[in-house]
Amino acid sequence: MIPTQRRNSKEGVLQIVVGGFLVLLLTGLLLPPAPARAQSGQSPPAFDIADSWYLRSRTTGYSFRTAPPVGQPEEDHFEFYQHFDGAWSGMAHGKLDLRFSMRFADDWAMRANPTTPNRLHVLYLQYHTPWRGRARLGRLFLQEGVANYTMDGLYLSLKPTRRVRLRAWGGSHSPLDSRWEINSLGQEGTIGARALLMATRCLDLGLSWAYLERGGYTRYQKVGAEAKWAPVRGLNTILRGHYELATEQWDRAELRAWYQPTPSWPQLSLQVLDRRQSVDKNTWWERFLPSLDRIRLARAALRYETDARWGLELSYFGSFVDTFSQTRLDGALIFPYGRLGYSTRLGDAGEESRWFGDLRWKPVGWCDLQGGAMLATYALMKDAPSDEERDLVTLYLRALTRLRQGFDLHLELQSLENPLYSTDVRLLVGIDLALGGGASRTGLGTGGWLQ
Amino acid sequence: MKQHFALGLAVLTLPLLAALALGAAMDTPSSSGIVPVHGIHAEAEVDCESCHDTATLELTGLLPTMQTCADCHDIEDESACGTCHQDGPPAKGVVFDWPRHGSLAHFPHETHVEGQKQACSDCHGPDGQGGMTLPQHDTCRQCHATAAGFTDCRMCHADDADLRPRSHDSQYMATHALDATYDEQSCQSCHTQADCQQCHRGDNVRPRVHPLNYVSSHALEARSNERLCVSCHEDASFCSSCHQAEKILPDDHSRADWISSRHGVEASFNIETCIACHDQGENDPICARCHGR
Repeated sequence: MIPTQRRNSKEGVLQIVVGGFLVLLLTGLLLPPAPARAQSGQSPPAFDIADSWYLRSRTTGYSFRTAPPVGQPEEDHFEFYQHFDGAWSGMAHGKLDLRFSMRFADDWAMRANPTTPNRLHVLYLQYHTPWRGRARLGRLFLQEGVANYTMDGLYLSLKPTRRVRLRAWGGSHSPLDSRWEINSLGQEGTIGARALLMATRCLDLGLSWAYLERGGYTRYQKVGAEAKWAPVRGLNTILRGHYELATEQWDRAELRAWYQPTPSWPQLSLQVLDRRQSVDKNTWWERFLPSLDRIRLARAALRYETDARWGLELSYFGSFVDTFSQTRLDGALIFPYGRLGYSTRLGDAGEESRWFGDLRWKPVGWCDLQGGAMLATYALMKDAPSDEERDLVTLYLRALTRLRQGFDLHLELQSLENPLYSTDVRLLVGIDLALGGGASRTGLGTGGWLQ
Repeated sequence: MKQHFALGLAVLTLPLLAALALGAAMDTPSSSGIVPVHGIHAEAEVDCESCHDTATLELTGLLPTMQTCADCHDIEDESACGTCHQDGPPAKGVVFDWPRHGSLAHFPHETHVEGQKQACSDCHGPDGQGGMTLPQHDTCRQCHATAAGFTDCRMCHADDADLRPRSHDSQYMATHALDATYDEQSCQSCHTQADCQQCHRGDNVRPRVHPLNYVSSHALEARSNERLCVSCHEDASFCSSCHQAEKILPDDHSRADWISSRHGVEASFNIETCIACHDQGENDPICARCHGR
């Protein structure tokens, strides 16, 4: 690992960055492509499902030079990230799986923040139970009704009939920085349950409840009701409300709708959210709770794209808190190899005017070239005088290459300029390796079924 | 915890029992106009291949025609049409609305049936009521667990098929939470929990969640609540390490009317932003100097 350094030799690093990028790009382009997929009529070899497994490694090096605007020395950084994830499926006669995801890193933000460099994101055993169920034990990312956090504990999902799904979980809330530690059940305990009913072919109903402790006191105890409804062809809606039992107040209501009756129609999506501001009860801040206003958000998007990839995308975002509001409008023209758009933001939180565009081209199947640029002027207050306005210009060029099955190379050059903050040049190199066997036979060393 | 568990159990038990009773009482209408026949045939020990004679080799041509039925049934007897056709005899030329296989260009039935010696019911049900079902993605994912660039998906789906669901539009990064918390298994048709954590606990490198130089423009997002910062940056020290330790105050803190009036207005607008820096845990924050203890 190369530690963060401060230098004054701007040209040297820039030459290394640009030169390295070009060498790697050429290497990626000149190496032979991955073998073509064979015809689907070929018989794949037999394998044992009980041996299904995969392991993926994602290595990322990220180097950048920052030039502060007012006489401070330039800073050169080198950041490093190593991520692993994998699975071993079909153990115990197809009943037991193991899945995990973790990463090790050393970066500037980590040195500035008290963030652990080693994180365990996910590690759990999954047992396939009767009633089409799954029992998971370990660290898992929980997303069930009113609950949305990472937990160390036991999760059970059952489907006793085609129309009914039941879930329950209990354990402790994982450390916020995903350390390799398990929090105390007595201090950070959590428990919850959820039931879903497919009432008709186009209407699902659900109820959920979750209790979460933080530092030994109740962080929240919520019940939620939800419905998923498809009243007409092409229209899907989800509606959910959360009620906080501890404060006896409605905490959150959210509606999301998505409409596209046929693939040739424009897509229309809509979200409306009304929520209470998140303040821990039993903290000093509780005194402000009665006077806080609710936050209301709305989003809408319309997208139309022809088979030839010409189209238009429009989107709206608004936030409303008492008399405060913020609005953003985006519009983009879609064309076969990219899009070009304009975005404006108005309101009490600040103003922004932005042009943006991106390009994507796959000259051959194993190489994906991308690029984009953005020019923005923004201010962090309403009706800002001109000396509060800031310009920001960013640019990126990216090459994603599959050198062979299971071996991907990611090269990216980034540049940005913000006169009031900094001028950066950044290079990212990523190497992804994947290998597996059994039903996930893929990647290096094994060939693939269909290669 | 015990009393909370009891309360939660009570809140959920009654609706749960009602849901189970209601679910059991409902019958299963057929979208095709064909009554559920798989259970009857299975009871009569009719092999799957008797009707789906190409099933061990191919993906197409699987559905039996009336001529297939005629091998055992008298299809000329109009009084017996209701045995299969719940709405009476089908009109001439009617095409039933069977589910389509979409982009499954490479799906090898032969591999599963001949190579792996899997029974039809391993993937096709039964659905708990005697009928058969088309496998959902979570059935595939029980064996095909890879997330590496969705390599497993391409084992069956065509290379050039766009597998991105149409719901994943330009706003989906901001709106997907409701979908994810509603039906996580639907997400897991394509994604693993590792995919979630690459953004939710990631490093903003690969993939990049925030744009370049977000450090200088993030106030716009934070103040308008467009991105729910705390959904990832749960630990308040994430903000305070720069705003406190490096003495980088938000722009509005230097306004002339900040202490006298403005900060109260802004706090009402979004107190979560204040807490991100000013929460001192068990100690009183700076606000307590005026607002009391």
